[in-house]
Amino acid sequence: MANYPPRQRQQQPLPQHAIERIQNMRGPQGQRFFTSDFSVKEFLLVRESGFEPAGLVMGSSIYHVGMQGVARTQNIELTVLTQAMYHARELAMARMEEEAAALGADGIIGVRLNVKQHTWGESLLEFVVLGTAVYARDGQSQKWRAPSGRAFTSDLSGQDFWMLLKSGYRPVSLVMGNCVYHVAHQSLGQWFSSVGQNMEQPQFTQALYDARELAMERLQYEAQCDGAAGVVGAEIHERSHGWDSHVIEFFAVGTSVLPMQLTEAPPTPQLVMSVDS
Amino acid sequence: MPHPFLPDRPVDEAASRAIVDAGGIPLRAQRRIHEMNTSGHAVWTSTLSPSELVVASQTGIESISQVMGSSVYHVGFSGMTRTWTSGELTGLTHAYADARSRALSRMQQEATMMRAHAVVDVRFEGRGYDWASDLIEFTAIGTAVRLRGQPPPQQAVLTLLKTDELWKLHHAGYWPVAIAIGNCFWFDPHCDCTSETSIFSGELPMHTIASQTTRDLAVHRFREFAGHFGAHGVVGVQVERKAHDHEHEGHTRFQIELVMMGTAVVRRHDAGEPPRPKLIVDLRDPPIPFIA
Amino acid sequence: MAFTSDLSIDELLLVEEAGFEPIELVMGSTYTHIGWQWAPWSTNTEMTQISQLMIYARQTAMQRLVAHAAQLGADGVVGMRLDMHRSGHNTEFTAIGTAVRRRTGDGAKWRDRHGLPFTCDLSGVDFWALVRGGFRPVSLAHGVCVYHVAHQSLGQWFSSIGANMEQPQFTQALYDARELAMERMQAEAARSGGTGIVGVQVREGSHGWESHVIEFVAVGTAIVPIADATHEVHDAPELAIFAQD
Repeated sequence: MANYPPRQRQQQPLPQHAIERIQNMRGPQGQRFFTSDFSVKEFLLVRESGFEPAGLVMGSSIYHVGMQGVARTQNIELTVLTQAMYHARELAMARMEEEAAALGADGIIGVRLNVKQHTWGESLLEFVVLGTAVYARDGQSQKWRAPSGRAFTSDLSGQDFWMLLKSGYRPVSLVMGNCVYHVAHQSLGQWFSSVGQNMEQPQFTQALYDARELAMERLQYEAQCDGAAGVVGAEIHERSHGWDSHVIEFFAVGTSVLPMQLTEAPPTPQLVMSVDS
Repeated sequence: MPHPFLPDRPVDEAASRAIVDAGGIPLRAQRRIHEMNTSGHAVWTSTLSPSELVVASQTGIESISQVMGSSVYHVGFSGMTRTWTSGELTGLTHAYADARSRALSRMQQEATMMRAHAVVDVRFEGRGYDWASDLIEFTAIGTAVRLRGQPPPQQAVLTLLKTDELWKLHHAGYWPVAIAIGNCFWFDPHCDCTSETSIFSGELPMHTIASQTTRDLAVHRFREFAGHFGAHGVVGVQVERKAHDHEHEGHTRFQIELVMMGTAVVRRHDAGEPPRPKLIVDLRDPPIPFIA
Repeated sequence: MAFTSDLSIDELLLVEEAGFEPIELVMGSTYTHIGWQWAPWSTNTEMTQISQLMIYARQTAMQRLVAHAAQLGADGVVGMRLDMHRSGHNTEFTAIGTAVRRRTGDGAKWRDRHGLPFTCDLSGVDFWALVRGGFRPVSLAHGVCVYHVAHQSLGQWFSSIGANMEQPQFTQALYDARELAMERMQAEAARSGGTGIVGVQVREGSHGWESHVIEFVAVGTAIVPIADATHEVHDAPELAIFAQD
């Protein structure tokens, strides 16, 4: 059995305005004021699950992502870029978690991650994460928090969160993995030999396959470090972030989950047909 | 303390390449699957949403892992414009069919290595890349699932179904056997060369014939494909069709592409009477747009 | 022989529950060159030749689809869709749907008055709801009106500058055009023996023509009550709220 080091994010100091906003929301007991981006239905279902919204939380990081030199004809991972993109997301996530901790939240639902490019700064990327912090109404925080004691994070909507709890799982953390990959330029000889021919290009199949595998493997590794049992809603995104077209980032994201004790049996699916389609 | 970053662990690239050449899956992917199989406490991953997870857990379907298959293919488009007779562009048809089946085959190999019974929630994407105009890539991504209490099968079954659809299909007395595909590219360099400004209206017989022949060929291949698996039917057929005319030196060139894709199913011998659905009135409001 | 259909699993299940089985995805199509017709600049008028052509082209596509379905021994076609694709100056009209056969052998009762398969644009879910509600589809009825809307004269334009007022000539023109399309659809439904039409949609399109020329299409499924005392109908519906959006 492999030993996985626990994931520990470095504490990130918050800007003064964030601290003030959060203190305003906390207020004295019974007078909590919250903001959230829940729809009415999400709000009802999150409350139905035994949680109360604590407030909208955010984290961001503007990161200088340079270019990494690489031979034109190589299929290779750009590890410096991979780590930079990864670290920037970690920073933004850590700040959001910090805000949630200041609110005394047990979890964050509906986390969305965005990468923005600004016209004023070349090779600057802004990473923004946004979600709604929630706390357990019964005060049993340790039952819900991640094994590390931090608030859980998840990209599930309020409805999906409710459904997940019904099915006997609880979210642990938003897990991600990425891989920035350089796809080789074809040499003139290679190009010439395949002119007019229909054939698989195994060097490219292998390269893109490997890049996606690495992103997936890192996502799984994160889940393992968190002591999770599974990952739901895994997705792989591909983006170029305005780089040279031969450089692609593969980004895998999902929510890791742990089984929990159910007080009632999960719902049995039934065949129903809605009259209004 | 920075978070542990999982570095790439090198593999024998030449050996990996040789496997890909032979239509197999790269060594890195094989390693990930092998480690999942042998580790006692492997994390399962899936593309399923929580509601699908409820259906899965209540119906004895276990998610194992997200699986993938892809193939990058070189397509020699240049052959097309030199054609002066109308007919099927067999090279192009075969190239697209081969690229798709290689991607699907790799996904099936991944799932079979995991001793999965089926792959659900398959999304199939075809794309070109900015960095090479004559390359296409087909990627298939889905979730490998196991049926609780069933012995591992010889090969995993690929489906375009969601978990709840797989369950409903089972209840309706069917079981999937494969993803069936049929395609056809057709090109006609002189196709009813009518002028844009013609005031006469009427049917264009050559276009109609070309369109029908393309369809017949694709449907024929589609049915052959399903028949090969002994299917009793194909459900959820998606038809993707691209046709365009363009005028060149007074001639009308017509090109048409048709792809059909669906899940081939067989009737189960042991099927009972399917349950009768309930009629319900949904009290939902339609979503109100923020800005109409 | 394997069946093929573009029905979803829900639809397949419900079509089977209603006593039918899918046979094959059927299609009919025709490529047409649409020429042009002169219309007086300042008159609100129907472009009758173009109207007729649009009706004729869609009917040709539907007839080919029905012929294909009849050849397969189908009793009906569900989920039929009418599409048009413009490519260059030519237009393709297609009809696509799933041919179905009655499983209990009383298929003849479900066909139309000429013994041809029924057609409808209902999804499998809607088809099931209709049949269990005590009705059967007869045919997809459609009506078309291609209309030329008058260009305003300078005097008209000048008199209404800066004023907020109804433009009765336009109200009337568009009203008439829609009425004509719906009237033709109703007439077609009546000819096929339908006693009512469900799911009527009136669509507008200008298909790349001059902006003053507009096509109005009315489409709906003609239905009749099922005259069979043993026909199984719905239980009373239950109320439910979905958690999922």
